[in-house]
Amino acid sequence: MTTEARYFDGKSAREYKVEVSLGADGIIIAGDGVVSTMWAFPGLSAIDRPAPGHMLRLSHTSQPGARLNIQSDEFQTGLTRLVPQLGGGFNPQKALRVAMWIGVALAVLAGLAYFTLNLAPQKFAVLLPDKWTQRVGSQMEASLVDNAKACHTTRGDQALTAMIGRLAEGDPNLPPVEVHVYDIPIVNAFTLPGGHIVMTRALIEKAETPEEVAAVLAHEMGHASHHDSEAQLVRITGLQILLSVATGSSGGTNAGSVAGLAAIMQSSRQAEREADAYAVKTLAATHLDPMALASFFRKMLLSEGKPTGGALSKLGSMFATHPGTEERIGDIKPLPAGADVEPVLTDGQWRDLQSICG
Amino acid sequence: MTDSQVSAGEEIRVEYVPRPGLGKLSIVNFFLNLITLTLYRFWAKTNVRRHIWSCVYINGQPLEYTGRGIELFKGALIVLGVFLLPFVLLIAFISIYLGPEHPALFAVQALLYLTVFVLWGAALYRARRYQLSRTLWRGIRGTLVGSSITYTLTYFGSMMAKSMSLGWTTPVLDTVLQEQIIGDMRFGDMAFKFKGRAGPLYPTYALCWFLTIAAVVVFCIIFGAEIAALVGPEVTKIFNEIFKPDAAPTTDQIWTVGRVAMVLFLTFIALFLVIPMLWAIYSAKELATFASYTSAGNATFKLNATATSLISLVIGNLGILIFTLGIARPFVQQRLIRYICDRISVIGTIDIDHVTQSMAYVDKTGEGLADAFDISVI
Repeated sequence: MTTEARYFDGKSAREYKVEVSLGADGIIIAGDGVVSTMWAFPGLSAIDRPAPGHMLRLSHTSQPGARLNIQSDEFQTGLTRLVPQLGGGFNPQKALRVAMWIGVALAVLAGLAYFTLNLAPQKFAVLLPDKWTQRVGSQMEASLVDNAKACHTTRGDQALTAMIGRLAEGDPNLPPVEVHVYDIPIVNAFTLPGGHIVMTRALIEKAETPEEVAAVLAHEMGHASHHDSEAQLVRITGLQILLSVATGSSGGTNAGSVAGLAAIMQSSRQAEREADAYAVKTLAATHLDPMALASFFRKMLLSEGKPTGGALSKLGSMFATHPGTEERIGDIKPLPAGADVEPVLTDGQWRDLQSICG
Repeated sequence: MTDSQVSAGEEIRVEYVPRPGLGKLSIVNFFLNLITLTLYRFWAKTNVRRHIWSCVYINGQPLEYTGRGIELFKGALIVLGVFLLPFVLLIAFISIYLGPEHPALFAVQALLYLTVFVLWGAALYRARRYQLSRTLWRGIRGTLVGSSITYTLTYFGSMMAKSMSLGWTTPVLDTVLQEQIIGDMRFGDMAFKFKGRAGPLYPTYALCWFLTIAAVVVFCIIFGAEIAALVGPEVTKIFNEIFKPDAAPTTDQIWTVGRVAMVLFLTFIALFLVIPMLWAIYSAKELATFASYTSAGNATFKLNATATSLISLVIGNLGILIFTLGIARPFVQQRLIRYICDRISVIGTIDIDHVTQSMAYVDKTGEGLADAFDISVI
């Protein structure tokens, strides 16, 4: 089988008209200005997948850069019958190579993701110097409470200090905490890096006894003692690094979103359960009834309403984002019968705390 | 033909001959991108280019794309390591060390944006150089022989100057940039030349500029009239009441605010559709003019670009992207290339037979910056 073809030597753009014929072992090329040569079948490859009506373009390992373009459909069919590898289509070797590169990249990303989300946060969190977490915590606090009024009255502050002092007796290793009450109409309490604990006016109003407020506070102190929010900060930051690495863009590193995300993202169930356990232990150790925590949770379950917007709407209600509240209530065990229980605040102090927001 | 014969050169015809397979390619690429968290994009892009390049016939011989996915992948990794990662880590460190709201963080981010701006031209230039070096016709590859640093500085300077002159330096600066990149362009050892003045672009530029101002004014008037017709002079009062703290707006008031917002929205949409259409007039003029300023061998180029054809190209492409959720992006790229192929003609001859292979250094990796900046080159 013989047909006309175009030959390019890869050194100049000159087009050589050549005759090509199909031999037993290869394609024989001959023409004016071209040294007659044979391209053996094993070294042949097609530039594009052969298709009838389209030019067949060939290259050969013996002449890198040279190209042979054949228009004849008949020649194309004859050649692809002799050299099936030219037929193109799925090339397992090539696919495997690509899959390997992508697989390695994905594995590295997955490994980094596991490290960033699960292993690193708690380890790094304890390493962060207090000065750093203090600074970050107060900035996040300012950003999250927006422009809500910070509640202070001399007597209210005294009552709060008394409550904190009482609870702190239960844990000699408690890192320094700072509790602030804000005039916010959503029941919520959260802990930020550096032991910054925020409680809302609505939470104090919701509580029927000072013990319930103390129970929530003890839960938050649990988070502070476990450095949960510092871990969350490390986790979010790591996640953002990971995202920009994976997508190859710098768009994910918006500074403001770090604070927002850290607060919104649910802490793990385990962190919540540990904070509950811490609260129960601390309450028992300071002669307070752990059932106050259960009764506050139950109250929240009953009135599980949607937050009504306002300054803190981006936070939502703390309990709406905590799954498994009933299970957690079940885990809270009362003090043994006859255990010594002392009120956390006097009636007067309780009234002072209730009116801390005026 | 023998070497002793003097060749006067050939006339050049460009043609786009579609071949089947692009649809299948689009779907395969889409799914592989999905399951690899877009990491497949480098190989997907390569396959699409290989297909589209092979449909571009010049004097009966198709182009060949010799780039490989792995080259783009490595290019992206390098940029990630030397450019992106240091910034990202610095930002992460500052937000933990000094806090997420600390001014230093914004300074670093500003620096990042500035760096991106300064390197934007380099990203374009290097991507173009990579593509040319992977484009073969008759076995000969192209290249850009100049410096991407020179180009990026010119590019950055031109972006600043354009905004400071309210756009009026655009024709001059675009001409300068085009002259630089075309002057650096080679096919084998054959140079492309670009020679021409920006002056002839100015009447069209002025037309588009003043039409834009007029469009904004007209839309402001229409918007004002619509609001007046809808709610009359009560509007400020209603807004004041609604945005008061502890406001309890009535249903009527909410409706009014909704309607005002809707009118505002529609007016903006209309404006943002009209303005780019106006500027298509200038784009067409610039494309056609720049083509006529370009020459190679004894030939000059002619591009029959018109505003209406550009508008229908862009609207068609947007439609395709929207209705196929981006899956059919390769067809959009095909339409862009096809637009050029269908409308370009070469006047005069080029002595192609005497063009020899390019000796320029060939990059081993490519387009890292363009990928990081998400510059959508074909």
